[in-house]
Amino acid sequence: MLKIKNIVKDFSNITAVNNISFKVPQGAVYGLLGPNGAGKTTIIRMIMNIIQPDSGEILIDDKTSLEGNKLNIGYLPEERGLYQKSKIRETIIYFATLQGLSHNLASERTDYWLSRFNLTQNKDSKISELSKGNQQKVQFIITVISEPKLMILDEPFSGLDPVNQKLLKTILNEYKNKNTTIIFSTHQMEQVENMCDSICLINNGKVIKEGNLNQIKDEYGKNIIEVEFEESEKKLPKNILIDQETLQNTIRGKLPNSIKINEMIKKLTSEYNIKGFSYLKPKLEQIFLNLVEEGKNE
Amino acid sequence: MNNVIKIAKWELFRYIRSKAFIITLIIPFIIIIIAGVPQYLAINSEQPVLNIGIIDKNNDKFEQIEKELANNEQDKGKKEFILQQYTDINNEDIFVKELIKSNIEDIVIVLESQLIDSGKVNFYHRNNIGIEQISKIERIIFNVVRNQRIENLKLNKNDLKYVKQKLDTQLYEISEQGEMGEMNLFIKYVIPGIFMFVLLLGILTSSQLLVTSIIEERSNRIIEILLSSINTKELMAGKILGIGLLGIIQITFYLMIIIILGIFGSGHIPIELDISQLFSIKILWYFLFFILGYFMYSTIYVSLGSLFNNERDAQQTIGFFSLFAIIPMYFMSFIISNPESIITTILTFIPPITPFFMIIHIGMLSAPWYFSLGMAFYLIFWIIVITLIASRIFKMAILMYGKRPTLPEMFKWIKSSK
Repeated sequence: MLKIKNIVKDFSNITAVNNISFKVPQGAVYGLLGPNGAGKTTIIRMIMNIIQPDSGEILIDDKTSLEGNKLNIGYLPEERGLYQKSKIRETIIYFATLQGLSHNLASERTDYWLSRFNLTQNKDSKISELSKGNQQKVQFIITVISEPKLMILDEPFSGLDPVNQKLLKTILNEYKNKNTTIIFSTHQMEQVENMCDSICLINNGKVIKEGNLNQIKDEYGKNIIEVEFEESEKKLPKNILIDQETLQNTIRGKLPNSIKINEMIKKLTSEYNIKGFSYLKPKLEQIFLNLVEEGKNE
Repeated sequence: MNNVIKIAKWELFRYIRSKAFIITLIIPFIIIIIAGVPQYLAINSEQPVLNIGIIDKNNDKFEQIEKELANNEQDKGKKEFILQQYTDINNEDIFVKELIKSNIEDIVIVLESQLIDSGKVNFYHRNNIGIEQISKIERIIFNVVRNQRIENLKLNKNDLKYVKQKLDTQLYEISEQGEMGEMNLFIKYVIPGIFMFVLLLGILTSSQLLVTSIIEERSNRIIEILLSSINTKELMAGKILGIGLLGIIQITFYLMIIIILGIFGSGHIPIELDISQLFSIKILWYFLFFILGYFMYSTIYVSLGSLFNNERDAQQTIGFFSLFAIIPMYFMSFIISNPESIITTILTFIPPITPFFMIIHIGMLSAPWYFSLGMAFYLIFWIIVITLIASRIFKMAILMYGKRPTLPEMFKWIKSSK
């Protein structure tokens, strides 16, 4: 659905995006991750055709977009804000008509979404009269109202209470089932792990990791072992497990290259009283931090 | 184009509902009230009748003054002064002081014996008597003195009437083509004055509304949502069209008020409004230059708004550009007195001043149609140039956060064809 090919964007003396390429298939939920200033917003703006890359190509359904030929993309920016003195329903209808909906259809869908987010009673209130969380709901309605084929959501869950986070997830799953492509730009790794199929980790304007989330976890998690003992054990020999962390009766660490997993299990079962043994996938947050750290050291 | 209209409609309704616009709409009425009320009070308020003592040293003018005053009060329909004559006064200074100190008289006037030739009159008054009251009685005494001087020249009553007869002035204008028409104060001065004033007011208001709206969109990141559906040109054009429509609504509102006053207010308002004159070709020219001026300033302010992150920073620059709109007000009397001077010509060709000066040229100086048409094209040319420059600055600056673009950066954007 979305193909980014070798895009580069310079601002004065800074290369914000440096030869980045990735693909997002139709219907995928894709995580665009990276620390602050990594170049995520610049990439998003280029996808949305707000700014153009200096070189490279962005294809949506194999077509390039030229300014003046806007594509149907739903965008939720990280920094929320709307016309504070305008009425909620009017504002949603205005944005919906700009996205190409007729006034009647926009009104119909606005009423549906206001009802779904329990905001019907506030429809004629000014935006400024809403709580921050409710303002975010209004902004989310604006993002989805035209039922875009591609949604770009920048920190969609921040500021929402658990009830509304759950509602948002349900709605996003509905869109996923409708084959909508969703790109998350977020720092909340737990949300990415729960929802994304693939990720692209960006740092200093470059892709440092891209691919299927499970494959990346497998790649970085094949050596992490957690062993639970009957009794408290302080440490295991280094030829069995390295980088050990002890928590009560449990020791977690990495399998050294010098030993195979079968041999390790044999050793553990013959020499210790083991209660449990787990082969762990790493948390995405850890992979993220490690890769960013590695990037700094390079 | 469809998106431009949607944005224009949205912006127009936002502006119309804003307090700033409503205040601007009523400002002229407030000004009229502020200027008119004191004038009305001065004319219509009940003023106390003043006691005036006259020491007529020749003892021959008092009766004439009384008669002149009676005629004057009859015309006005109200009594303003009570006159009392004093004769054979020995110690004038003490007597005058005593009359005023003991509140017998408010003003004491001493008419010298050589009054007719020397014109010397001394006024003594309490310190709370206004200069206007003194001027009124002074005018009455002057009329008596003037009549006596004419009489001394042995003129009879008819001669006197003849001398005092006022001018019956009729102004006729003859165009360069030799066409003659009666000069109409209303269409020549009042209407262009209104157009110029509303244009100035509109520019000052629209600058605030536009800049505030763009800064809100930038600071709230609404701009990014907008630009995900439309492009910068559509956004800019929509905003300019919206504010332009607001200006047209504003001037139409005032013209409607004038028409209503002309139809129903006749006899109740101090000015005679010949509304049939509103349907002249000049009105179309005023409208044209009003709209062109409005669009030009709106374009400038849209691009200015994109340069600032908050209103406080934007104020100084807005103020600087608003100065151009105020300049014509200062030069108005100069251009009317010196329509063909080099300064007038130079000022007329400075684009931000052109709309104002053209309204003066068309209204007060009856500029020929070909000059007006040429200047309209000249202004359109400049609006296109300003729009091209403004759109390039707007496109780049609108997404620039944190730092303000520098002049070299802006020149780079203007030169860039991307």
